[in-house]
Order: sequence, then C-alpha cells, then structure tokens
Amino acid sequence: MDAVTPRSDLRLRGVHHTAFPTWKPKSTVEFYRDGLGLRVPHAITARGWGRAGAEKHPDFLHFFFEAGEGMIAFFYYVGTERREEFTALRGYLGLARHTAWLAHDIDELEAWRGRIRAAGAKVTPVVQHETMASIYFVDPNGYNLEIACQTRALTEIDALDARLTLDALVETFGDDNPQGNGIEEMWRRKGEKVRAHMAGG
Amino acid sequence: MPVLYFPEVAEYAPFIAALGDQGGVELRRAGGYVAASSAQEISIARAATGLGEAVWFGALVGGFAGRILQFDDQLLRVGD
Repeated sequence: MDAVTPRSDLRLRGVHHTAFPTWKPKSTVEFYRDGLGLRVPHAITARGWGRAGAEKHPDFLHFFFEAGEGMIAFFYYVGTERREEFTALRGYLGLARHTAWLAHDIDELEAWRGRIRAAGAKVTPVVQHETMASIYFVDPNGYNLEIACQTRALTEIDALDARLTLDALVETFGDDNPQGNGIEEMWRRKGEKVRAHMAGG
Repeated sequence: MPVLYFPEVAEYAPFIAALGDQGGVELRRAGGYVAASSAQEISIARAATGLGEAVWFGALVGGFAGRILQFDDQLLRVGD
C-alpha cells in the first residue's frame, strides 16, 4: 500500500512567508516595522554552519514582519558584502519579481499610499487593472512591492477564458519560443479556440 | 472577415459598446463571449471606450481572426 494516502482536499492555504536577503537591516526595520507599522512576530539569530572555505555559511539573522495572513522575512548575513544582482531589480524584468499584498478596497489603497509616503518611499497612484487595482512602491533594499484589491469577484467566465488563454500560450510559445512567434499569433490561436467554444465545441 | 472576441465581463463592456455603435459590425453572443465581426476592417478608438492604458492594451484578450493593422495607445484596427 502506498505510504502516502491521496487527499482530495489537498490544497495550499496561502503564503506562510516569502524571504529576501538584506544588507540594510536598519533601514529595513525602520521601513517595515516603524513606517508601514507591521508587527514583528518572530526573529532568529544563528551561528553560521556548513563546510569550511567558500561554502561556509555566514552567521545570520532571519526576521519576520506580519503582512496579513502571511509574513515577509529577511536574512541578514553578517560580514557579507552586498550583492547587487540580488537586490537591483529594475526595468520590466526586475518589476516582474515582486510581492503583492491584499487590501480590502480602494479606500484602503489610498490610506496605504499615505502611510507609505510618510514612511519615506515613493508610491504610485492607484492603477486600475482588469479586475483589480494596485499601488506600487519600492522598499529600502530595492525590492518591488504592491498592494492590490479585487475590484470585482472573479467568475466562471474568467476561469474559462484563462484556460483558453493558457492553452494558446503553451501551443504558441512552448518553452523558449522555438518558432519565434509573436503575440499576434497567440491572439489568433486564442480567437480560434473561442470561436470553437462559441460554436459548442 | 475580421472578428474580435471578448469575454462578456464588465471591464471589456466599453469595447463592445463602442463596436455596437458602429454600422456594419455584427455582435453575436454565446457561451460567455461576444464575437464582433464585420465585412470590412474593424476599428476601435480608445477615446470611444474611455479606458485607461492597462485595460485598453488588453483589447485582444479574447483573441481575434484576421490581421492587426494598428494597435497603439489611440487606435486598434483589425482587417483581413
């Protein structure tokens, strides 16, 4: 008998935490704890371990800030030099890597805008997307942050449309886009799938 | 014959309304989608939709049939 019993109710329950390296512990604590007002439920301090030489693990601190149901956490590695390739997340590729927290509504987003500005960071106006609205800002380390709210509930039509889009995405681009397709080709395939769906296919 | 498809949800309604105001564009609804087709080129001016950039540039989310003639921050034109 299989040792692992299949569980039909198995699903992820949300984000426990995400974690990032920091070389600016003072600014990080001042921004998240004092500026944004996030509670600090947990902090770890440890002697580094591991093999000697280049793979020796530095001594470190690992500290957490409460962000609703989950936490954002940082590692500070004592005695190490800042590595820009882990923190300098600029341009659209850098912005693609971000943390987005949830707010209830646009009034809350506006309230967060005020608190973020008071914490010394620049923040965008509220941006209305298809089904959500967002504000964007950057922490003292250079990490990209977002606070978002749903502006309408997602429906079965959204899920159907997402399924057809992902089918077209995978067919058009595969991995590394070996055929060099553009998005027009993907939209055309999507249109064909929607046409078939509307015809009852 | 160019065709634009839109999921029938609130944020794409401005596209459908702008297309419905044009002569020669036929709207057909089925299965949660709207298909807008025409014997001629189909064009939508962003000004007629009142949409911000984030949603405007998602105009082709539902896919299409034909060829994109123009798609910038002011105008979308699709032809054969």
